Amino acid sequence: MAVTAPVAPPPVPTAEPAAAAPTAAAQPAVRRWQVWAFVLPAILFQFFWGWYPMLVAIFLSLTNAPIRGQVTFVGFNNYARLLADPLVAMSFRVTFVYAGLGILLTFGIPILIAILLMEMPPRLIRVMMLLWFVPLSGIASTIFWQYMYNEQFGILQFIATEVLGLPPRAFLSNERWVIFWLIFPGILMFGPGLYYMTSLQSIPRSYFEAAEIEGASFWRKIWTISLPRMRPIISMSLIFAIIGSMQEFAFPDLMTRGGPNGASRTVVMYMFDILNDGRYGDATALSVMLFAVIMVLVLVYRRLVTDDPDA
Amino acid sequence: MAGVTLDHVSKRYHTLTADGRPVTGLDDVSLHIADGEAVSVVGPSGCGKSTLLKVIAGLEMPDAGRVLFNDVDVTRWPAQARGVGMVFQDYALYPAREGEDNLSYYFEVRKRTEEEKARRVREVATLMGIGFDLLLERQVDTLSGGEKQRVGIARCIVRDPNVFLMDEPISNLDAKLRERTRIEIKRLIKAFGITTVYVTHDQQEAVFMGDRIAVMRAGRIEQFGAFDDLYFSPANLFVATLIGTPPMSVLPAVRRAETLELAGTSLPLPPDLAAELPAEPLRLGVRPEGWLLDPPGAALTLPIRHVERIYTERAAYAAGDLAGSPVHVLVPLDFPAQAALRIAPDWERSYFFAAEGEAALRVPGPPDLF
Repeated sequence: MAVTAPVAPPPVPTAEPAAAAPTAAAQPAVRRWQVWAFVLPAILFQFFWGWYPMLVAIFLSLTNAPIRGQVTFVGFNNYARLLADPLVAMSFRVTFVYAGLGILLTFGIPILIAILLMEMPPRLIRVMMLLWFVPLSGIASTIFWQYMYNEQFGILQFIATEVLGLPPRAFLSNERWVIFWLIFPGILMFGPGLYYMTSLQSIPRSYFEAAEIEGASFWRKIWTISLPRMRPIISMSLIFAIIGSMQEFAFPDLMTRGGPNGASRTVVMYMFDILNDGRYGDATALSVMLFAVIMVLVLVYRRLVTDDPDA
Repeated sequence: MAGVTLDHVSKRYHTLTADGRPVTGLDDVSLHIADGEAVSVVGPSGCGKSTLLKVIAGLEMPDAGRVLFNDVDVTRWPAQARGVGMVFQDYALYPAREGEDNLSYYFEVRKRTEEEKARRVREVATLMGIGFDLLLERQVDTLSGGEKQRVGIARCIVRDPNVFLMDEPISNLDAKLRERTRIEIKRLIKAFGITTVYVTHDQQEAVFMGDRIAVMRAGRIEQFGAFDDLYFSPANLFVATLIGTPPMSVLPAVRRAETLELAGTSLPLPPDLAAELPAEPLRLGVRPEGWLLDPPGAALTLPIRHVERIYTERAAYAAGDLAGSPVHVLVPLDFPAQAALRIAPDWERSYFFAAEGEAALRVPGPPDLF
């Protein structure tokens, strides 16, 4: 193979890098242009529908925010007015109870249900997954639940009085219980259960077999194998649940319109009411306040739940 | 420690695999593994070898038959009562735990004392050899495949199992690591003298790991014996072609009087062999070392497709086709390049099978070495 060494013409090796150099230098420039071409639409979209409205909202919350006419800078007057408004404090209280109770009831229970479901025969698992995740129209299921809760003709009232023999109850018009009854459908709807079931399905069976040989009980297997393996997905969906439940609007608005006496009026619902009054400055200030509260919650959560290197 | 006996064990599954085939179970399997013996179970994927292991472990209950450990019927015992240790292909180490916690899991589950746990883990770390205690301090997800399997094996040893069950423990490792881990496992098996059942799809691995080898297909044990038995006295064509690398060549042939018609050539048969074979179509099996090179008299001409030299084994194999079947011939390492080769089967080392089915008509039998 090395016989040709003396014959090898010297210009060729020098010519080759020289020819290669310009293309090597030209390529990154082309690539950079292409990179921007791909990224730009997303950046523009994010700017006009994400960052720009947010910055404008922060700015508007410091002004009188008229529909037309002179924009006047009013400092923190909007915030001061909101903080003095007892309905704002009430709506935050309702939101915290709604989000806290909602996460408690609709977040933990599906984890348990998913784990128990996976113990069933494979065919039944498939049927259950299908039944549980049949896509439902939000409005349709809301109307369905309005009927369920109807105090005269509702199915739940029928179950309470005729089946369980309890005195008739005012489901959505009871100030103490209205938030619970608004969350209740969420328990049955199974929340992020599909994520849990798929992450459970991805655990190799040998893990459970290894634990079984060592004599681990059912609950111990869940604690040492299922839950650690589900941890990343649980951690991620909990963040989404916190952000989402703090902005609850459509379902309670359609079901109760915030009643009775504002007992189910969340922050976003109150914001909507203020907007309807034409108080745009106050509404944006309230939305900035809600943004700050959610941000703090997420930061606290991230601090508490550190990212595990092996999670 | 325990000897393991399977007595007419059957297991049927009613579920289907992901691609819609029924999961292979066990079909009337009987097997006796002596105390302290290492047995390999080999067969193509889906032959039921993993099911066999799970039935011994107690992870699967047989539909019929009995499982005995030292004459004690454990058929209905749950897995944790049997005192078996199992090593898995995908390691199955407990996630989000350090190596050491994986070893002590058993003691936590059984609520044993801290001292016993610490003592056993220390003992096993010493047995596992150099550098093993370093692995114990690390999170299992940061370990390499080979390191994971070492922890997996240690987890198995730490509780002094009656029976060691290994389900393709080294299949997921790369070639070099596979070799090293294979030797490591062999060393541990020998050191402990624990009854071992080693499942693999690789016949060379099976030969290396097992004192005896069980060949399985479609839920049945086709043959169970030492390597020499399987190699020289295969029960049928399936076993004959499964064991041996490169595989045995199988050629259609017809016996006519004292000759064998093979690939268009008449080869004279020794009189005693001619008397043994039926005068009808049959199949001739010849292993690479069973061919005579450049024999005197009648011979076949094998066009050589390629020659593979394996320096570590000081051998070369010439490969070609005869009558449409691939043929490998063992040739000297310094075999000169040539287009064709004159060969004839060495009748002493030839196998004969029926033309239909897989029945063995005549096999050479293990050589008498002493």
